[in-house]
Amino acid sequence: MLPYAAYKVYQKRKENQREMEEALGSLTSNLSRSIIPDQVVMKIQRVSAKLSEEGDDYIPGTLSIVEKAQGVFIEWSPYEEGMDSGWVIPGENGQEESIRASPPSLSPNNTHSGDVYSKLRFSLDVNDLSSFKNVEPRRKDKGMHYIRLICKDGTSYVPLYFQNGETTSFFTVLQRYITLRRSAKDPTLVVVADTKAEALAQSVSALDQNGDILSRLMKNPYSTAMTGFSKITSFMQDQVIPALLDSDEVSQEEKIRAMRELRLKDEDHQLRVHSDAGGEFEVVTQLELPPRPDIFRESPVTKTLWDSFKLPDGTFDQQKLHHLKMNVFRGGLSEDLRKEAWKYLLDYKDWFESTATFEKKKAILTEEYNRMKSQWQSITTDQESRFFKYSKRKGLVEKDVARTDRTVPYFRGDENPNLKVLQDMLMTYVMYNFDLGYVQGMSDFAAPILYVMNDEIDAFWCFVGLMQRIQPNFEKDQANIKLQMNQLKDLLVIVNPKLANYLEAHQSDDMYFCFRWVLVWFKREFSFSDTCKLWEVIWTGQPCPNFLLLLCVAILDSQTTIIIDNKFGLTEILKHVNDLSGHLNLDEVLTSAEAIFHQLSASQDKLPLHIREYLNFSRDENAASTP
Amino acid sequence: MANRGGNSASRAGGSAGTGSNRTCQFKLVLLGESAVGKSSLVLRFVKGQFHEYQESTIGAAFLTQTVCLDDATVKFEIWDTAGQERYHSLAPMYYRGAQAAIVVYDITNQDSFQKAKNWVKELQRQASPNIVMALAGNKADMANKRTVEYEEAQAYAEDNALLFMETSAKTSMNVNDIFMAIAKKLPIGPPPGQPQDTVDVNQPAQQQKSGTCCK
Repeated sequence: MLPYAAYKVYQKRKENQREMEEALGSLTSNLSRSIIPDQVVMKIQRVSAKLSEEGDDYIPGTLSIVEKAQGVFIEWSPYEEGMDSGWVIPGENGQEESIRASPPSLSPNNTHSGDVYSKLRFSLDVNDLSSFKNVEPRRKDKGMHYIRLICKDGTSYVPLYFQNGETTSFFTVLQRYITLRRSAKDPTLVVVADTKAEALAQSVSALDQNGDILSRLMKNPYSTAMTGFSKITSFMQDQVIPALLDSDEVSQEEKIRAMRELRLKDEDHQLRVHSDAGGEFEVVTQLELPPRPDIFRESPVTKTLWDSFKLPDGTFDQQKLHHLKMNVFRGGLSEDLRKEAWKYLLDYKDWFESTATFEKKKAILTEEYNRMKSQWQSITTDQESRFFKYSKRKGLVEKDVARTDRTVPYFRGDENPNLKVLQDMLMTYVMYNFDLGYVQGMSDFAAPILYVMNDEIDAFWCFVGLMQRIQPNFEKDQANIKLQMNQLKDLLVIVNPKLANYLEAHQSDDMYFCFRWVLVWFKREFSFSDTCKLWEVIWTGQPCPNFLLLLCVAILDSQTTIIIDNKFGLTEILKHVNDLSGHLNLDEVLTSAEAIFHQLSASQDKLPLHIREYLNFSRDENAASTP
Repeated sequence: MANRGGNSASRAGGSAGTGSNRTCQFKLVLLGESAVGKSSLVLRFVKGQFHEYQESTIGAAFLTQTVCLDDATVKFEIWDTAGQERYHSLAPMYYRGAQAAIVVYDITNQDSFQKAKNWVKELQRQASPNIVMALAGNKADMANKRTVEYEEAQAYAEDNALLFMETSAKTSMNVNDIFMAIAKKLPIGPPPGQPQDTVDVNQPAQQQKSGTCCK
């Protein structure tokens, strides 16, 4: 309820405004649709899109802000091919990085490239912009300033690197249309201010300061309005009063959100109740974890180092095995060692089996493979027509092989023979494990193994070894995935309760937006070569089982501010998480996951029982907790 | 987002500034057998792209696209799901609360048509009763390998009151059209909390908003 006098004042202003708008509106709406051409307000050259976190593939282009009839747009487009190509910029490490103008060649590091060139061009309505990352180089003369635009619907665009450092002018022009505010929590995040919500918040506090201005208005509308309102800025009159008058404009959703945020603040200071696996309630006080230690990645394990752990008969020294695995965990494997080392990591070769014993075993396994392969190969088309369960599996495998890692040179091209090998491997696995059959996601695991082994039989048995561990993920009831999602949530509650609470308040605490991470072990998030590096780290089983979940926690932790400050809901979170693909730095993810492990390890006595179990802290002799 | 105001949006041009324009959001889910082209349809509709070797969808993807009708702007929140039966148990999570669904099959694959019928049945039983359903016979560019006859699918669609089109994400045939047809069937009532006979205090903002979408 607003006093009549105030309402009148408002009405009058409103009428004037409307008259003007009608006059202007008829003018501009006609003009804007037919006559006014798009107006390029600013254009910055040499703003390069970086294809993926890994590698140095920058595609130079133009960033512009364009006023169009339908709104104001931020647009980026790559230079036409051949134009202005081959310019050079100083790289992060001081050496020069060249930037191409033509599509980058495809390397195994570049699974996400595809037909990137056209894919990258975008046009974004400024009203759809929610925030952007704004990362300045550590030193002015090294590296480039970049921004990454994030939309209200959760879309993240490719990072844009400003070669000429003209970011200031870009921000200045952008500020004409939207209000920008630096996030208090993350200095690299710039948030588009929601003027309506902020106006409302200000109006509430303004009313508070004025000691119930509304009731005073009721008593003496005129003088209060004159003295009271005149103190309030014109911003208040323009934005706040209409917002207050039109209470429907403050959506229910915003109110709920505001209430939830208040609740979150309260909860931060409260005791947390956790239900443990036994169903009994256990009250856990908010844990103060020690600070995260600085962790550094080490260089990959070389063939020489690897061999130094071997005894003369080819077996590994049991005493030193843990040390070797920790080395692999810390640095991964050098590329030339993968073919050998993966056989051990995937339980195809036993660490304590001599070369001679393995050769005998391999002969048997080869025979077994060929036998199973000939089983399905002998099924004729006629027989297949009455064997639906088989032909269905075959169809699934065919469909997925045709679209697995096809941008990786090893699988590129229509007549690529490696596709047939992958197909044969997976079909033989169907015979090996007919009860499970083929499930989507398996080809994602099989392809890198085949690429590294480059041998059908070795690849098959390594794949079998891997499937042994992850088979439960592919079972129909999805129970194992659900279990991991719950564990992930429990871990997040300990490591980052603020984010965990936020997710809960936004119906996302089932963690299903992490489904892809957990099912195919980040295969879709990292480049092909990064995936290989990541998997061998996980396969060491160090420093704890469920390290995969700590990787998830580390990534989510790094996105906390973006998720919360952008007020992402269920769908935006899923979209944002999906869009992280190709833009995560593997070493950062690995080091922060390891750091989180150390944090938890250091306070393991205080951790709830189930968390200790997830991380295998229950056993005191756990040697992995220290380097 | 990249192709906002593409083919679909420009058809309804000229409706801006009438004051009656409003934005309605609808949740749409894509269902259907594996590899029938669900992701490709969405990618074509939202980004105007087509990838011959589109990766399989693990879990779900979420995209948005806006289309303009004569008197309203419809914002689709599109859930693209994994097709394989093994992940069927996740589907209800995605079609729950959906106001529209596109059930997709591959015209060269009879089995995928059967699967589509199963999806239709499941939606009729489990989804919101007013859900607008469309059946899309995708890969229409491969008509020489057709195993599902147009008439057969059309008859089925008629019996079940489904919108029906044969589509091709590859050539973009009927892709925008099927989404437009759905948009037109969606209940676009007055925006909640804003009865039509009251004065809209924030009208300038509203006009601005509609102006950003329609040409």
